[in-house]
Amino acid sequence: MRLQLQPGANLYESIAVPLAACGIKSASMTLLGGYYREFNFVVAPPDPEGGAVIAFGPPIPTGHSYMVFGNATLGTSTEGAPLVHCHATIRTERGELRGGHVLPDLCTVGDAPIFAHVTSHETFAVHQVFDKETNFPALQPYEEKNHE
Amino acid sequence: MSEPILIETGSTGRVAYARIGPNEDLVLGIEKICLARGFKNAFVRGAVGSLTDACLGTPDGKYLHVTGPAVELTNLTGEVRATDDGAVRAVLSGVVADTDGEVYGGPFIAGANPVCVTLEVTLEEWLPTG
Repeated sequence: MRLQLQPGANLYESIAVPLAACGIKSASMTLLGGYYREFNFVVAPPDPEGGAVIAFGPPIPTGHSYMVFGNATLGTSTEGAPLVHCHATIRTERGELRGGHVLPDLCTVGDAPIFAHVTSHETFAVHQVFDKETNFPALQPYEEKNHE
Repeated sequence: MSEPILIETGSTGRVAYARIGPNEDLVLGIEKICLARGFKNAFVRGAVGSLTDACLGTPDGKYLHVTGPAVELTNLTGEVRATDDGAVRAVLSGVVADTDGEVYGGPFIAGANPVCVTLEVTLEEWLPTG
């Protein structure tokens, strides 16, 4: 399906709310190019405390940015809420190309709608689970007989 | 005289979503998913995840190494094709971001792009006509 991300909405809500309204809990999507009023992402350097292989750094604000392209997975968090895992390449307000792990709730869609191509997963569900190998939560597909 | 334009017709089939785990290779991992699902040909429809380090090919036949961890995969495109010997081969390119957010792009070298924490990938089966 083709999803329209609403101007002024944060990226998380503009993905999670309409898809939930359609009964979609798990999906993969491509985010097409578009402007964001505000954009924040993080990078993943090694964990200085050694508890896990990496530790996300603080949010990096890039201001009025253009997302060149992005990919996202919609799943369910360990708390049962919709989770949007998104990585993207952007052009920052300063004109620099950057990329990383997007913070969807800290990104605001710009004045024009942005479109996403969504493939919903209907024969299985994607859940966030704690991965003992990496000491990090990760999304995993699970067969779910009653998946909507 | 110009070469004829070749168009392969067909249709899309099943969709596969899978997680490639830590230390598995990006390219070989996608080939393994196709073999496990019985996909002879497939398109990459998207991926979200990270690599421990990335290795990209360059036009002069050398390699560009991007050091992590983690190197974030921000775009992945490519396809998997059946080979004459019954195996499959993935040809993938994309964009990665290092631990400073700097971006690099190019073809991923098979066997040299280990997954760091996780890599979620969506594949769509391609069924050529005839």
